[in-house]
Formats: sequence, structure tokens, C-alpha cells
Amino acid sequence: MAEPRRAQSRILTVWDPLVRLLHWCLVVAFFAAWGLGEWGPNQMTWHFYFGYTVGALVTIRVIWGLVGPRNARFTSFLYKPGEVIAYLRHLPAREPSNWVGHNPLGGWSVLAMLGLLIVQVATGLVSDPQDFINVGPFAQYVPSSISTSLAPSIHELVSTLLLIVVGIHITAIAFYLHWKGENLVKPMITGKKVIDERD
Amino acid sequence: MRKTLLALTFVLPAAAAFAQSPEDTVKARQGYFDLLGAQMAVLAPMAQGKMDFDAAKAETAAKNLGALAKVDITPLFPEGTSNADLMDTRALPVIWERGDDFKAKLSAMHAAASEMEAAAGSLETLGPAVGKLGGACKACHDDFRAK
Repeated sequence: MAEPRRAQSRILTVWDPLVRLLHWCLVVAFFAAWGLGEWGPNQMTWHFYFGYTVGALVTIRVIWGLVGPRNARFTSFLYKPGEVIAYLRHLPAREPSNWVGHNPLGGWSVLAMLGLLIVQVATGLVSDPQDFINVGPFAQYVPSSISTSLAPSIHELVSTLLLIVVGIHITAIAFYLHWKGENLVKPMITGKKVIDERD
Repeated sequence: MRKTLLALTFVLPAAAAFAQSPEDTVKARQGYFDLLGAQMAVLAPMAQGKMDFDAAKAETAAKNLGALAKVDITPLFPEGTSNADLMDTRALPVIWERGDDFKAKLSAMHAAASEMEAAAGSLETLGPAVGKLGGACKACHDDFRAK
């Protein structure tokens, strides 16, 4: 009877299969597109393909955020500022959050990542770097001041912002694992999370 | 004294006529890149299947590229003509900081442009040649041109 309340731990399904599949496909497609953009061959065909893939994944995720199961929905994970602040107060505590789904802080970071990815895909599609081989498929439909200058500038800026946001995302997961003793990676693989319901 | 003044009245206007303003220099080199672009605007859509292959048009564009590849445009990049000095240019100051690298990339572009004539005869060879020249455009734009 050392810890009688242990029995109240429950295994819940927090992430549906589509959310998990989209997440890990996005990891691959994002890093492939980013790496190819930065260090890839001058003929950027594969950067384009991975960029299109990111666009498709984000589109599906946004639709799923409107019609999917509870934890996948925007309405379930975009919390009011007050709730975010309340969550932030508990953040330094060395105990698992036991949160089901995206926590109030993580929810907004999801929206930030999706938003930046949409901007990145959109600016890529209309960019014309004036090299005749890496012209975005929709570059011809926007004014040339946008396609040859503004869109490539934003594309480059957002590539850095995305790296920072992804860096924060990974740092947060390491923080939860080592400081709070909560593994957030496993649920994103198996879909299941052990929730301690003592509180 | 009179002779000197007389001489100056002839020399000064002549000197003024020959010295190109930085703005004109920028226009001249932009004109060069516009000419390159006009040839690629013929060849690239053919290579990418967006336009039917037209051997005669391809040959003309490729020949023009070969001629343009022989033009030394380094005198059109004098100091004081970067986008930090002038409006209406996207030439980054790093061109003058890493001059050898810039010249190497120009040479790579010239090499790719001069190969175009031999490649423009068929679609099979045109594709890789356009890829190579476009790649040379990109490599230089990435480092030396403002977005």
C-alpha cells in the first residue's frame, strides 16, 4: 500500500493513426526539403517534390483539424491566453503534465508551425529565382516583383524561422523527458499515453 | 597656358563622354543578363516540355549564348556599384569581398553557355545543358545577388 493511488493510472489513446502518420511523414519531408534547399544540387527537383509533399501533408492536417477526432481538432487545442498562462505556471514543476492531447502551450506551437509551413509552401510555389530551372509552378501567375524578389526573400526568412520553431519543439520534448519525466515521443508513435489521474 | 586651356577644352568633354556613370554601368550589366535570360527563355521551356522543340529557334538561342559567353563582363563590376552603393541593383557587396569566387562562378556560367550550341540539336542533349546553365545561374544568385 505504498502508493495506492498508482492504480488510477490509465492508458489513453491520445493521437489517432492519421495524426501520427502525418506527423512522421512531415518530419521526413520537412527535413528533406530543408536540407535539399540549403545543400542540395542546383537542380532542385527533389526540393520541389518534398515541398509539394509538405504542402499536401499540411493541407490534410488542416482538414483533419476541422473534422478529425477531438485531440486533432483546432477547437480542442487552441486555448485562451489565461489558460496558457496557468499552464506556464506549472511548467517548471518536476512532474509529468499528464495532459491529454496538445497542452495549451503546445497547441499554439502547432498552429505556428502549420502557419509557417503554409507560408513556406505558398512562397515556394510562386518563387522565381531567375535561373530558368527552379521556377515555382505558380510563379507566372503573380507579379514579377513578388516572384523574383518578395517571395524568395520570405521563403529564405521563413526557412530560418521554421528551423528555430522546430528546434524549440524538439527542445521542449527533451525538457519534458528529462525534467518532467514525461515521454511525449512514444505516444506519437503508439498513439497511447499513460495518464496518471491522481489529481 | 593658352595651349593648355585649349587642349583641356578638347580633352574634358571627351573624358566625360567616355567615363560611364555607375548607374549606366549597372544598366549595362543588367542588359547583359537580360540578353542571357532572353535566350534561356527560349531554351528552358523546350527542355522542360512546356513548349514544342523548335530546332531553328533553339539553334539561334544557343548560338547567341555562345557569343555572350565570350563577353568579359568583369569591367562592368567596378567597386562602388553594389546594392549598398546604389539603388536598382541587387549586386551584393560580397562580390568585391570574394572576387575570385565571383569570377569562378562567372566562368562556370560562361563554360555552360558555350556548351549550349553543341547541345541544342536535340532534346536529349538540350535538357542536361539547360540544367547545367540554370544551375550556374542559381549558384551565383545564391551567393552574390540580393533576394
